[in-house]
Amino acid sequence: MVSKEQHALHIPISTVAHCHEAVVAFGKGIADFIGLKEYLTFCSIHDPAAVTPHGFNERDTVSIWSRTGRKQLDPDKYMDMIEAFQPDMYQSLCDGDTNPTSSKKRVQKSINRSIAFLEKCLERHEKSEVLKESAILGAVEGGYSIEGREDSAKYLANSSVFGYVIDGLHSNGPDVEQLTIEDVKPVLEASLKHLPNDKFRVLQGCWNPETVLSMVELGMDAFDSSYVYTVTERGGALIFQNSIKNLDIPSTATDVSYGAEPKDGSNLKPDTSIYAQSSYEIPEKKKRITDDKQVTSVVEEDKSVESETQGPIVESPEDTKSQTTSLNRKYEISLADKKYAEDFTPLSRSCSCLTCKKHTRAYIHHLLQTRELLGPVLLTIHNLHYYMEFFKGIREALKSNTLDSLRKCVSEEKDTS
Amino acid sequence: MLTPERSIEIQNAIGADIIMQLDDVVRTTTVGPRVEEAMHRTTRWLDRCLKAHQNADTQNIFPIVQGGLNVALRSESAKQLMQREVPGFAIGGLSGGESKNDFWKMVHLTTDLLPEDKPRYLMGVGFAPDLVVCSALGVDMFDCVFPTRTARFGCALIHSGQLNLKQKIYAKDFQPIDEECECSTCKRYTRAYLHTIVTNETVSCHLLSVHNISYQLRLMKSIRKSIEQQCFPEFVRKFMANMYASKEYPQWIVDALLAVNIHLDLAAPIAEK
Repeated sequence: MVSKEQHALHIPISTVAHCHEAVVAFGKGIADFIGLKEYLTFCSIHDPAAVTPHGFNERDTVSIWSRTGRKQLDPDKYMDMIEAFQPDMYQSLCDGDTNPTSSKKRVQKSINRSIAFLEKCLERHEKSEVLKESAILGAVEGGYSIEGREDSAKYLANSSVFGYVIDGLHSNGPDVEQLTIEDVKPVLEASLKHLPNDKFRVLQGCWNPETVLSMVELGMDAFDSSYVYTVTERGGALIFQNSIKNLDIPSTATDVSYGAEPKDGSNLKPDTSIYAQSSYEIPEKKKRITDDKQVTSVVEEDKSVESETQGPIVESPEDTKSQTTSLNRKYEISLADKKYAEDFTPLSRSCSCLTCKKHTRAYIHHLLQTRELLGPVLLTIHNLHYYMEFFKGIREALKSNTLDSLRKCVSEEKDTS
Repeated sequence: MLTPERSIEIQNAIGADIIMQLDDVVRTTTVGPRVEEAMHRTTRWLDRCLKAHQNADTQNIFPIVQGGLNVALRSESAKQLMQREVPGFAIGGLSGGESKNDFWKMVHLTTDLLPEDKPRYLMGVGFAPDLVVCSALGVDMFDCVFPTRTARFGCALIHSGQLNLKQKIYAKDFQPIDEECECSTCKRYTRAYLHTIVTNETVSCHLLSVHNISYQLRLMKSIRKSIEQQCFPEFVRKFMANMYASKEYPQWIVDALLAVNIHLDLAAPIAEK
């Protein structure tokens, strides 16, 4: 329906904490308990789609918000849950309650606490029978302090974790969509600088597709699907160009012009790797885009395609709300809009998901108007499928060194009529 | 406001295989001239619907027998509707709050009057025991919101009644809803897991709806099979024994089945309902 391939489930502890007792009695782990035992599972602490309230972590505990209210978890309580759930991969308990305005002191606390938590979690992990086949990821903290990031990463690089979660950049929730690569690039680079290339890197949050692409270029390996959820919740259907296949950019536009070759073929991990590219021209191009935040399509290399602003959107770069609007319009259509009431075309002509094969925009619009449960179901099927195709496209672009073509496709203004 | 003509116009556009006349329904608790007025109006509206119907070749229109709980009015309604050339009949106005004792008698009366070679559709029924009893009384088709509505409230239908999966007793119950059920929910999910999501996650509505509808369809299939195999009365006995484990059958069920010559196994005193 969505995909026939194997995928990994992202299971935040906050959403399953209330099942702890039952899963202990069940004895066979969370995947089997929820009827999805053929899936790989990854446990995070929080749900990236929901805002994590500030200021509730303490020296020895992290707060989660579960079905039954706020719970304070210390490493032992956390690991009790992990041992009950038996995920294939999970992140260590960590304090990532930092943002661009955090004080130096707060940032340092997040680093220190996370290190202490990791040590305790590793201890439990190594002793555990049921977690012998599970992978533990350490969290790189440090808020928006370059020095903090490097310190945190250096510590982790020396630890025995399987890989890393780059944490502490945001407090989850739908606003993460508005963050661009410019907002986080320096601290991301600082986080990755001292981490070995051959270990897995995860970055959670509802990042928008272009930011995801930029992060892949910097060296991130995996993301979650919270973006899909937030788009669906507002009645959106993803329609951005998610692969190079249907390229309608004029052939005079260059794609592989940057000449950056993989430094060494062995750096490429199967399917998910990105190589170091210190010689990329992209940073300059990105600068061009963001200097003028009102431009909503990429200015082509050879300037043969005019940049077009679409409709009455962004007034000023500071106005983040309208920036969200312009971003939304770029990647998705809003099915609640009356204009789809008699649009009998599929959500996306290039999509092969069940929703696009069997249903029309008019029908989805109707379902949303009448508040039928089926509306969000069909939208989720489409959006999730579409997003997974996007990641397929990223993997193919990495293999064939055409990431820049993909970027052009993704950032093109889609004809939504 | 809906007129008979507008109702048929909409139903013609929707294109359903079976469409319904616009009828004038009153509550079963209503008494007095209003009941008779509604009965006559329903007949007049049937004629208007038949006239407005554009697709007699592809869409079957059913009239709806009214008359409340009044023997004379209900008989009159059935007789009037039977004078029209229609492919089947619906029995309406009987799925409200009336006592089951009145309910079964009206169904029985109406099915005795309606022709045997056309489908009889009892609207708004219902609960599993009602489906079995009314099938015995000669009804062919039913509709009800009950299975999906109760699913949304966290209740799963089984042979002996309902499981309210919100209850804590299911927190560590690792069986499926029904071991013998072949629906997609029972194949994969335990009562314990469903307990964690009912009334909290919308997917629980889907999972339980699938099971409950599967239950209803299986029930009807069993009824059909037992009729074909000429052991329907035995099926009814067994069904009722499962549903009322203590054999305290509701009086109305005993009476209704007796009226069509089905005798329940009465091992214990009958309970008044």
